[in-house]
Amino acid sequence: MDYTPRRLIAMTQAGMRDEVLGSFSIWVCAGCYACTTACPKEIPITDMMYALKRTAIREGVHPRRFGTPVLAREFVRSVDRWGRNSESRLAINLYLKTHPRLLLQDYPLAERLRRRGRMRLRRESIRQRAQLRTILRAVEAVPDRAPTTGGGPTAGSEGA
Amino acid sequence: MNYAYYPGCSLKGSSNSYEESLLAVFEALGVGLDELDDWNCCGATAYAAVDQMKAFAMAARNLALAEETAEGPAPVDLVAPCAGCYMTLLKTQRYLNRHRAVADTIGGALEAGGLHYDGRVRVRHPLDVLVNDVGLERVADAVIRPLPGLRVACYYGCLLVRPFATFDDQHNPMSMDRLMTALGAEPIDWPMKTRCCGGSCCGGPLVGTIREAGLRLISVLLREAKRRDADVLVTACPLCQFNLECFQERVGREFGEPVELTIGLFTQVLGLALGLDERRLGIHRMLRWDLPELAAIDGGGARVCA
Repeated sequence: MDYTPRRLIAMTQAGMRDEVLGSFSIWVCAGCYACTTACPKEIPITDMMYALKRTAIREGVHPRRFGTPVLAREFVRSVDRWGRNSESRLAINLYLKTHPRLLLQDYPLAERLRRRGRMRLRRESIRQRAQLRTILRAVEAVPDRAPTTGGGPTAGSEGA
Repeated sequence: MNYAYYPGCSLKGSSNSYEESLLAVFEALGVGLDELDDWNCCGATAYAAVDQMKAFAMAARNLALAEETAEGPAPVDLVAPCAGCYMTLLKTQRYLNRHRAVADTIGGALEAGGLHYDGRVRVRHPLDVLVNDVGLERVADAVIRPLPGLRVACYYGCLLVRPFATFDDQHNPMSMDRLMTALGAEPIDWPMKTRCCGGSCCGGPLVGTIREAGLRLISVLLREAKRRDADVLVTACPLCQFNLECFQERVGREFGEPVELTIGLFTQVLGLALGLDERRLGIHRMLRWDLPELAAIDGGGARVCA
C-alpha cells in the first residue's frame, strides 16, 4: 500500500489526480468494509475506493497485466453477455491475460478440484439474455448517471 | 415454510458442496427453498469496480424476479447463501431506497425489460433463517448425532456483517457460535471472526490478483485458529471457504510453516449433527476433511445457548 486511505482522501481533495489514480493502494483494497464500519465520520471509504477503481479502469491508468482490473473487466464482459459467471472459464481467461506461467503452477490444484466436480468448463447462461441486454442498454442510455460514492451512512446495524 | 432461493454462481460451480449441504439440511428441517427461475449473476463486487449503476441493474433484475413469485403486498423472503451476493443485493436495495437517481434509472431500465420492482423483497442469509425463523430449539431437537468436544472456529468473514449487519452484531457476531452450541459442539473464542480472508486478493477463484497480500491474510487466520486448537473452521461464504481451503499448501510453502485445517461450510457441520449422509453434504468434494473421532454421548450432548 503506497498511500493510506486517509492520505488518499486528502490527495483526492487536493486534486492530485494522477497520483491518486496511479496508486497501488486502491487495488490492494479487498473491499471488506472494515474501514467503512469503523469510520467515526461515516465516510464510505470502500465505496470511494470502488469509485477510484472505476475511474482508473475507465482512463486505463492501472499497471499493465495487473490482475484486479483485468478480472473486473473480463468478469463484466462475461456476465453482460451470458447473465452468469462461468468460474472456470473466467479463471483460465484471467491466467492467459495476466500470468500464463501461473497456469502451469496452479494446474495440480485445478485438477484436484476438477476430480471432485468443483471445476467445470461448461458455459453457464440464463435463458432471457435479450432481456438482460435490454436492461443494461437502458442504463447506459441514461445521461449523467452513476452516483459514485455516497449512499449515506452504511455503518451500524440497521436493516437494508 | 417456503423461501425463494438465489444460489448465485459459486454455488453452481466451485462451491456446489455448499448448495448440496444447504438443500439437505433445510429439507431435513422442513424448510423449502424454491430456486428463482432464470436468476442472473448478482454483479458481485467486481462489477462495482467497472460500472456501479449497471451493477445495480444486474442485482435489481433478480429482486424483480423474486417479487414476481408472490402476489403483493406480502414481503418475499429471498435466501442468498453467498455472502457476496447477500451484500450486493442488500446494497442495491439500500441505494434504490435512498437515491432518487438510482431508483429512477433502475426503475426505467427494468421497465424496458418488462420488469418491475416495488421493494417487497427481504434478502435473507440462511444462517439468519436458521437462527431466527426455524429457531435453535427446533434445530437442537432435530440433532441425532451431537458433536461434543468438536472445537469449531466460527468464521463469518467480511460481507455477511459488513457494511450491513441485518441479523447479528457487526463486531462480534454470535449466531453461528450459538448454532454450533445447539449441535453440542464447542465454538472457540477467537478474535478473527470478521477479519477479511483475502479472497478477493487471491481469488477469482484460483488466479492471484495480489497474491502475496491474500496469502498473508490466510496465514494469519489459519494460524490463529490452530493456536486455539480448532478442529475445523466453518464459514458461511463460498469464497472464504474456497480461499482458506485451496491455498493452504501455498501458504505453508511461502511462510515456511505448514497450516493444515479442515475448512467446512456451516451447513455441512449442521448436516452431520442432523445425521445426514456425508455425500449429501458434499463432503467428498472437499480437499481436506479430517475431523477427530467424537466421543459417544450418553444422554444427549445437544444444548441450546440463549
